[in-house]
Amino acid sequence: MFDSVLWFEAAIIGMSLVVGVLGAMLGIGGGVMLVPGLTLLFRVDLRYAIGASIVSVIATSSGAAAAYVRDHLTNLRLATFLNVATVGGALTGAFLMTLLTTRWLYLVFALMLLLSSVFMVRMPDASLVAAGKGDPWAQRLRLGGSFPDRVLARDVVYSPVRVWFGFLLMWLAGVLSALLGIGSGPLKVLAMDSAMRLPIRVSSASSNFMIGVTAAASAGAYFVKGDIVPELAAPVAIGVLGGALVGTHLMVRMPSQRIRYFFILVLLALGVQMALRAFEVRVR
Amino acid sequence: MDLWLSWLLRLGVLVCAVILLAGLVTSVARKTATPSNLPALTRGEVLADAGVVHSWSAVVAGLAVGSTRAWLVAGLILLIALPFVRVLLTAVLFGIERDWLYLVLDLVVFALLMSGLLLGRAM
Repeated sequence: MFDSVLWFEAAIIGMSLVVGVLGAMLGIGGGVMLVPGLTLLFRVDLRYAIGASIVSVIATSSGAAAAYVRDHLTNLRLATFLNVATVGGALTGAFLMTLLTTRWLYLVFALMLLLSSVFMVRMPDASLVAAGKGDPWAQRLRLGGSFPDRVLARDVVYSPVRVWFGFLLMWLAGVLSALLGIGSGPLKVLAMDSAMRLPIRVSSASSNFMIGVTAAASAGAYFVKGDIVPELAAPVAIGVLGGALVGTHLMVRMPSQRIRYFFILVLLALGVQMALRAFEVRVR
Repeated sequence: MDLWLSWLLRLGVLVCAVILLAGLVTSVARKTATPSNLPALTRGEVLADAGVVHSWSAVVAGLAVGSTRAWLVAGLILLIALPFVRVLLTAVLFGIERDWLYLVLDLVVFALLMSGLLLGRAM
């Protein structure tokens, strides 16, 4: 189909642009749509799609870094502590990938998509931020912090609870990130927001800091292994970056219900397609 | 201090994007980008030599010659390296604040990242 390099690269960039815009607007990240797009539309081998996607995750998260730190929302200690978990998880995931056949990878991806769509339907409200000093480990490790809240016109002090449960969830997020080539941003935010009861703005900011580091862990391994194809990863990274840039400037931060439901349908459809693909592939 | 860090990262991403874009444009203009790879890629095949980077000297040699593939690889290496740099610089920040626990913790993260590269070689 693609006998011309130009058409191939242009098509990849085009799809990546769309993914980047949607990802920035909906906050669910591009990897979730990128890997299905590359494998279903372009028929690229799953592992190369994952390799290209994980590189684009690094690009978008590093590019977006400035905004959050500017508001002094990122808790560096918290992020560093949790990074031990996410990177550990990513290495576990990268190793797991060698054990799973391509068929199982497709199935795990399909399951993740289906769970994500369910998650989006039951969008949790802002959870209660734990008052008080948090759990003993939060104090021992000095994981708490404060940030200026414009609405309340004062500094809000916070401290996480269930620190080790959060650590475990972050490990899981790292495994998924490496295994599927995604950012696992929503899962990270969920872990910090619901499990550790951190303020949502701190969760989002810190999650963004961690996503790039998590992705780099597996990206490094895949790069050395040879699963990152330059002709594929380069246009994907550029496309997603450009799309994210456009997406954030579109100022459509909180999507309307209609867009959300449409997106949930898309996730479901992709999930089904990936599951079907699992049974098409020859075992690698 | 940490603001400098994120601006540095953004600059890094920009540099990578420029390198990658330049590499892509030239590869399209020259009609290269290992055309033999593309048909196989879009048939879902496993490529014999897909992304394998044989050695640092090979990359540098490729850059000197002006190989577009080497430029793409260089851009990707830089992109992947950005979070590594971020972790190191955060460690420096902790050092400046004399937060030794977190300096060590951050170096643990860095060590884990590096071991990922070893893992890749073993896989």
